[in-house]
Amino acid sequence: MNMIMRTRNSILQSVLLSLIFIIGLSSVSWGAEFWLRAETLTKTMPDTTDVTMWGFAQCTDATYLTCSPATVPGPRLTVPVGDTVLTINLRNNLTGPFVEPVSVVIPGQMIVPTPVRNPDGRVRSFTNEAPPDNTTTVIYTWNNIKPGTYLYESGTHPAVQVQMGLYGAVTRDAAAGQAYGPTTAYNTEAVLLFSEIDPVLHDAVATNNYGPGKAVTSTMNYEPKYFLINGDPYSSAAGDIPAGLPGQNVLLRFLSAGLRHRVPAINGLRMSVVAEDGSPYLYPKDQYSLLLPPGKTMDAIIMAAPGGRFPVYDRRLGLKNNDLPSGGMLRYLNVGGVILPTGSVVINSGAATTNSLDLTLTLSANAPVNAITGMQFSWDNITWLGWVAYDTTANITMPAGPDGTRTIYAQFRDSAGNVSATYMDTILLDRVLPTGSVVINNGAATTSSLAVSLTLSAADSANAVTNMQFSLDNITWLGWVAYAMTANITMPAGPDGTRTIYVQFRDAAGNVSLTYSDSIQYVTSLFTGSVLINSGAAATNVRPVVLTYSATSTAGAVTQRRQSWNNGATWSGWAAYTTTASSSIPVGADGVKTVSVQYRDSAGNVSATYTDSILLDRVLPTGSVMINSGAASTANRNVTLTFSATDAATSVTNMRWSWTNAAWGPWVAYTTPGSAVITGGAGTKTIRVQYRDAAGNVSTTYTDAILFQP
Amino acid sequence: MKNTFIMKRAAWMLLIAAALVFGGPRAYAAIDGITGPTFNLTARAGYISTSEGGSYLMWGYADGAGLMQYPGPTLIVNQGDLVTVNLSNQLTVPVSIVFPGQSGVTAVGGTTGLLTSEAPAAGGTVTYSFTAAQPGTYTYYSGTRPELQIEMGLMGALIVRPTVNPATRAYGHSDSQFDHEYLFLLSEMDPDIHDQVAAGNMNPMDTTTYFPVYWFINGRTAPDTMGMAHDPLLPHQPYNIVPFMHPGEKVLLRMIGGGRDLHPFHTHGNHHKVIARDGRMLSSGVGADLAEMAFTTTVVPGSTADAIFTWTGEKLGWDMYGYTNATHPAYCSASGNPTAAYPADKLSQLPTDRCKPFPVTLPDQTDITNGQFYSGSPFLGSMGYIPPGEGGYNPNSGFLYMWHSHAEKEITNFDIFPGGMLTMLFIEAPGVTLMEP
Repeated sequence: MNMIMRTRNSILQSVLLSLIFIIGLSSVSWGAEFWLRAETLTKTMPDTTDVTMWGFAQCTDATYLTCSPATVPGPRLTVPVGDTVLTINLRNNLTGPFVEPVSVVIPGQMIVPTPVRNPDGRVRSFTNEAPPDNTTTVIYTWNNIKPGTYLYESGTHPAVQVQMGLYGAVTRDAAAGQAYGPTTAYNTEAVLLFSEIDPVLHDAVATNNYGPGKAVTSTMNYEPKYFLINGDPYSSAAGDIPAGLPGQNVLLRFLSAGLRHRVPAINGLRMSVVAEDGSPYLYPKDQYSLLLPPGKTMDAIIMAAPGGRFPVYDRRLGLKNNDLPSGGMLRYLNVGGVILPTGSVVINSGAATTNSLDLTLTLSANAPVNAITGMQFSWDNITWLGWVAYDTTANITMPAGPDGTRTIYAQFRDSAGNVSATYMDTILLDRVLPTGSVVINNGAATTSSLAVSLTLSAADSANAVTNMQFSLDNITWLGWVAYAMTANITMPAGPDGTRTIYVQFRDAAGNVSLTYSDSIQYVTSLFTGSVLINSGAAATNVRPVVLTYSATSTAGAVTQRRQSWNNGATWSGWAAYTTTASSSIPVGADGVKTVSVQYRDSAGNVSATYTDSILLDRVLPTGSVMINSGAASTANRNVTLTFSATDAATSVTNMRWSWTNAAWGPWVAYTTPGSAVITGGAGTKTIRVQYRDAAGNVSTTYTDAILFQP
Repeated sequence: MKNTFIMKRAAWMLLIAAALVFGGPRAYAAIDGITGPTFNLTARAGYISTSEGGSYLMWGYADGAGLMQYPGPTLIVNQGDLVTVNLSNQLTVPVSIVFPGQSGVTAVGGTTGLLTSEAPAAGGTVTYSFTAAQPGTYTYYSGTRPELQIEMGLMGALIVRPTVNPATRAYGHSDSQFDHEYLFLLSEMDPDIHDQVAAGNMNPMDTTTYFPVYWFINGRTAPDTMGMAHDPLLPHQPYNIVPFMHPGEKVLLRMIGGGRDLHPFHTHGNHHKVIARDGRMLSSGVGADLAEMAFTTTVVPGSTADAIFTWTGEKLGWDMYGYTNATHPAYCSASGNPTAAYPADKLSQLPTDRCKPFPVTLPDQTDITNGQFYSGSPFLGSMGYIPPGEGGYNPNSGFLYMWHSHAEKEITNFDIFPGGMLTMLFIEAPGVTLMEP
């Protein structure tokens, strides 16, 4: 910034300072009534770890329709000098698998406590709770707000909720520009709120693994990995904390919402420590560091600050971002210097992955005095897409290319032309569908129970498989649930038969797999049955037959039957079950004819198919007959008959003969030779023979003659 | 371990020998250190010893071409000096120095770091300069990866002597008057971190799981704290801590939090008066009028506290020299009151205690076990009968009080008691030459 600009800014800053105060937190609040809403949010640490947190959002009025995004710490609440009554309205819109009622307390400010107890009598909350319904508004009123620096924080289950981020700063000055009175007059102030993150608790809350019987049962093993000032661990992207102009008295409001002692230390400056816990000292202490225990507030004034950048850091050495150095509780107090805008860019609300090139960016930028006017983006930190007007959201399309991690870079510009550092966020582009399989009851062929267990297996090349959904008909889906290797499902009720279960898998990027399925036979009834054609006859020479049915079922009476003459290709309609019925072999050539029969019981179960077969044979047998081996004459009345007959499809079974044209002898079994006795006197005698096959076909009449000469 | 034990015995014998050999009363006892205003410090590696026999890699500031030492040399300058510290880096990582509480520190050379300019690894240099504007007790330490380098030993004390009465006052004002001054630079160590560094595993390193098991005063664990200074057996730990005083004298404790943990430092024998913090008297404007009496002072990491301790035997209820009318009729009247002849050098004992008889009958020698510090007599400066081989560590028959961390866990060496942040105050009879072991 050039000198003219700096001068102008300085003047503007001075004017503004006579009215308001520069603060280090996320937003400013005026008036003695505030509307806060607890919400779940995600903070991205400098090592790109996402941490689920609970924070307070500030809303404009009792309708809760217009709210700023939730932050950690929550909005800084400034009670005007002239106000002694503070009212905080609280709603609870915590979301996620594990939510709790929340509340607000201000240690050090007087209020009549109204503790909320568990059924066993233990105090769960120091004061009235707002249930997580985003509807109930709980009102807290403090009637005699003392001047000073205080923490507000959740008074419900504080071991979890304060760690999760439900804290902020609330202040009131004794007089304009005086923290506690004339001896604590200041020109500029900065809030330095120290807190910590142990990701174990945050992950447990985010995944519903916190609480009795779950993976994390208490906060006893607290081991913070991230160390925050004003909600952020230090990184090269962290902005300076503005601390007025050279020669001014700078009030530093130290607060600790963490669980460990901290020792804020400032190199190059000394502080006049003037108050702790909102109570002013009779005499200030001249120190360069101070002991800041958990839950405490301390106020210190840098008297007649020299210009420059001064590191303020935790001398208890919370200076890591997890296992990476050069982070943690470190910021710079900037007295009189150009303070660049700071900001952040978040892709798709912090999502880790996406399957779409179209992204929504959430942007946030601050400058201590000037308005943020512009922003620009780059996909490679080299080529910038050009300045556009600043907005808190932006839609942007990633350049085409292969799947993989994509990074967006953002810069912000204020009205004075100061350009921020470069901020970035990454997201994994993954457009490959997950694949998988489903197996019912470990591959069993049948089941007698509608409740079955599924064995699921799914894989994705770039992401984790996160969800799955089922369908019983491949039409209606039952909704996405978390992916697991096993699942239990109840198949639709109804008669026995084939049941099919359909499954789809979804990865973290939102890619949905193809549909996979497995089937199983649902069998609850055990049929026994049979069918006989013509009482089991092997052959017939007519199409009309009589079918004899027999069936029982363990699941109820057999009530219906049907049959098919074409191996089940077409069935007769269901007919009432009887033990016999007439049927007819369909028109067609001779051959083996099979009838298929199914039975249905009163429960609707359909039996397996039972069959019987019969040979339809309408071809007549053929044959011949000889008397006495074809001799021309005989003197003996007793003759020998030589029969000969064949049949194409079955065997010749019977024969009959006659010496007259009038009457046939009885059917006798086919055999040869046979004997016969000539009747009557001498003369030519003719024998007539007919043969019959197994199907009942009777041959034409065959004859032979002999001269009888007694 | 046996060798170690013998070494400890040897150190003790040296201490006793020094007491017997060196003579000549001194007006005051100065803190061991190097004087400025120009210092040449070299960051080096070396191994320190702990009293139970441990040996650990440390990084420390050496005085010029000297050995790495833990803590770094105590830098002693005078108020108003333009202090120059030339830092040369023989470590394999960048290193630096910050001077908390000093204003206007400038750095020349080196490369830009988060807290100050840094001397690059393997031979880099940087020069820091500042004016030591105000007297007091200060600290210095590395501003480069402090969570690792301070733990590794890159820290020390800075003492700025006042323009007025620099030898006998901490802050020029009479409220900071002392007869003897001692440094209590308190620190702690998690050996896992040192083992990881020794193995080359520094990136990444999770120091958030910090769990110290050693506690140091001036870089030594007890009982090495009470060995002699510049002991050749402890080449990297030159500073000891054995406070000595006569009754009625004032001892200045310059307490510094050198590590990252809080330490409640506790003086047996009497309360101490905390007169200053972070190099400034606790004052409403004149002197240390806001000084606080305490028997335990929380020593805050990176911060300093000065306290005045004195001991007169007040409220013992008996004459600590054993003077009664029966034994010393010239000093004590028949009515049990001191006479005008009561020795002038013992008048620090309050009149209410003078000539009061010892209130109990001592048990017979055959009924007691003698400690090594017992002189055989309950009276200051008197030696009584003790069996051969007993006692012997208290040749001048002084009174001893343990000064230690009141977090009792911190008076161990890796689970072995006693040790850690512990030493003994020797109160010697008037006229006895105080040792400077």
